[in-house]
Amino acid sequence: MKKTKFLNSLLVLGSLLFLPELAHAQSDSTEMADSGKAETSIEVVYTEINNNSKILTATVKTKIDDAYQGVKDIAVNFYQNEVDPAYLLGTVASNEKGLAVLVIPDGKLAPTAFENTFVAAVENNDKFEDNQEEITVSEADFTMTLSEEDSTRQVVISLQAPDAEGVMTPVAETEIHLYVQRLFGLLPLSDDPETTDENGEVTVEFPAGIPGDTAGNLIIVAKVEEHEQFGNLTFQRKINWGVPLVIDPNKDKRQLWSSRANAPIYLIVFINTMLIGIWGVIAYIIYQVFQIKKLGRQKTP
Amino acid sequence: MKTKKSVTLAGDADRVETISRDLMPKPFGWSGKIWVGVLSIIFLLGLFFYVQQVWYGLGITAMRDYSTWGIYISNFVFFVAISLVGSLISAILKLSGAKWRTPLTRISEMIAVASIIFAAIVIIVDMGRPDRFLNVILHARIQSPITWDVIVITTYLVISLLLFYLPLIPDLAFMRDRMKGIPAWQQKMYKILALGWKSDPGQEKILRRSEQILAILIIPVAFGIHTVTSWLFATTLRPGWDSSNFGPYFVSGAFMVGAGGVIAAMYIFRTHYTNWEKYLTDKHFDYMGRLLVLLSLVYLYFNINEYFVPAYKMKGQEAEHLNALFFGNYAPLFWSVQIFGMVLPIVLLLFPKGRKPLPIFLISILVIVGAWFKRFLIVIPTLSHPYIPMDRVPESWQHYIPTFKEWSITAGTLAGALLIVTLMARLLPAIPVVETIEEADPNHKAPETD
Repeated sequence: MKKTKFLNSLLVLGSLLFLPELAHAQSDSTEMADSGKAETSIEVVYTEINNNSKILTATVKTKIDDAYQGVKDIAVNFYQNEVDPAYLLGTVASNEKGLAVLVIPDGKLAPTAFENTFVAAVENNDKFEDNQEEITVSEADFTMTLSEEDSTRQVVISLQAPDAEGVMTPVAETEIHLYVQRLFGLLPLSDDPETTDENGEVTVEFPAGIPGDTAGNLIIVAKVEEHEQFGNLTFQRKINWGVPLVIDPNKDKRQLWSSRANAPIYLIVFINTMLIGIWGVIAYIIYQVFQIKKLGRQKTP
Repeated sequence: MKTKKSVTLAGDADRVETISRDLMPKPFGWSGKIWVGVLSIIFLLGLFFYVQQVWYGLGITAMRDYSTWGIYISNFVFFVAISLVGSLISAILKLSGAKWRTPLTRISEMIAVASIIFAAIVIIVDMGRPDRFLNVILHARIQSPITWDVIVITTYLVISLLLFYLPLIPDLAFMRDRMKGIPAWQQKMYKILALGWKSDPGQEKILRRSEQILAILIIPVAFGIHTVTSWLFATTLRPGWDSSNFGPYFVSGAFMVGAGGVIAAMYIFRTHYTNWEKYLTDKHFDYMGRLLVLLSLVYLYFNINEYFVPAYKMKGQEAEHLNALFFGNYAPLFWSVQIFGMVLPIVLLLFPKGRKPLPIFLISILVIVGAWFKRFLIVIPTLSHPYIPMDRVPESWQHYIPTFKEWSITAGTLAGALLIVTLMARLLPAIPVVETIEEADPNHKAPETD
């Protein structure tokens, strides 16, 4: 009887502890189609880097609690032109944010007339309805030229695209974003993007004083972002226009503010001496406790 | 053939019987059960919200980018402070030859052990993810006061446990031999922990020498634990913390709240257990009252140093911080703590009537509550006044008002510490039985130590 009461108390306590999580789990509801499978939304983005690497990114989401949330571990098939195994570029599983990223392998794309259509599709999934989304992008020639004259450093960005006859022509009135690559992100070089002129060009004077690596190298990045005709275009170049980083020679010395490997010797000696001294006495006292026990075992005369 | 182990005590059987009947641990009465029930509910509520905190993260607290330390750290400093009472009663009074301390030693050690255990727990609570505590050990920088604090807290906990346990051995043997009709596990526990104690002269000698060594050892470690805790603050460049006065300021405040804690516990034990007024007499309250006045005056002196000197200069951010304490948002709490938690107790305890059990109990409660909020005032206002101005941050980040869940977790830790003390008193004599019997013997002579 007592045992049952105790178990009941434990159950009540356990349910109290996990109540918020249970409540959360119960309120999770995914929007279902007639097939009993959940529906998804797919967004596809095309990115080209240095006119070379071509990347397709699909974001797969489903509606949970009236909000779209990324679907993890769902297989996304990427095709060129249409959903057809002959045009399959690759299959990628989404990450926890629902992102599936495919770097299109060299030579995999079939030749096209200046324009490419890509399809991202969820197919034959046990939990989710079939769905697909396509994107069409034009070919583009996006380049960056760096020049230095009389201590003036210039960045020239050029954007060209083929016309109806396939002749490369300048693309005017297109926004170009310029950045410098930093450790945790991109540092914009201006508050607003620059716009290409009638020659399809943007010329920007590169500011002085931006810290680079120890050799003064930094990476300049030009981007056309989410363009309806070209998708995302990126061009990046490394150049030694930065201020060389001088590493503080004191960093590797033994100082209070150095890393743990460079702790001052006097501090290591002092703390360890104290530790050994005090814990030595503690160990001696514990030994004495055992001596008391040993004497307790001996017969009383 | 087994040798019969038994503790022999000098003096007549009646006295032994009376003292042992009075001081041996007893089952809880209705008031004890209510006390344990209330503490358990508060503790479990705190545990419930702590599980939520582990699950959802520190976002359930009001701590944000500026107030990265909240009431958890205030509470940690409070626990460390009150734990110093162990060294005050068991070491400082012992070494200074104050014989009246005998009935207070166990109570003070119980408070010390319970407090230091929860001080360590609160640090883990404050980390959010408990597994991160391993990083403090695995990636410790020996230059960091946080590393020193981990080392010194662990050391102090071990010494406090030993200083609690060693004087308990004769009592454990006494209970092993005398307590009848108790559950088998309890009997077995006394037997194991008594280490075969039989008042053998060799055992007595080892015990007294070990106690003496520990009493000496714990004093520098006790000063160390609270000085290092103060350095967690004082080694940073922040208004209100950037002070060379912080070590003695913290240590003196700790002894003051520790003394207050023992007085409160003495009064509760005295009123709860029959005949305990014979052991925790008015004289004990009077002496503790005098000690508390002394400690409070020392703390007052350091308070004056801590606030008067920077207030005389009123420089930059320090001025903003002090204005917030003296005249701003924190002024009601600041002046309440200074007046009711320190000045008023000093004044009242100067009068003999103020040192009578009930008045001094009420005064000690003021001291304890004042001490807790004093730690709040040390930790929080400084974080609200950073050197780099708060700019373009959400309004809620600029102030720190603890959430209900944070308060509950904090209350849970306080209840947990009280539960440990209560359960110790349920299983072990809160006043040393054997020592009391021996000291009650008219022919008793204090044992000599090496």
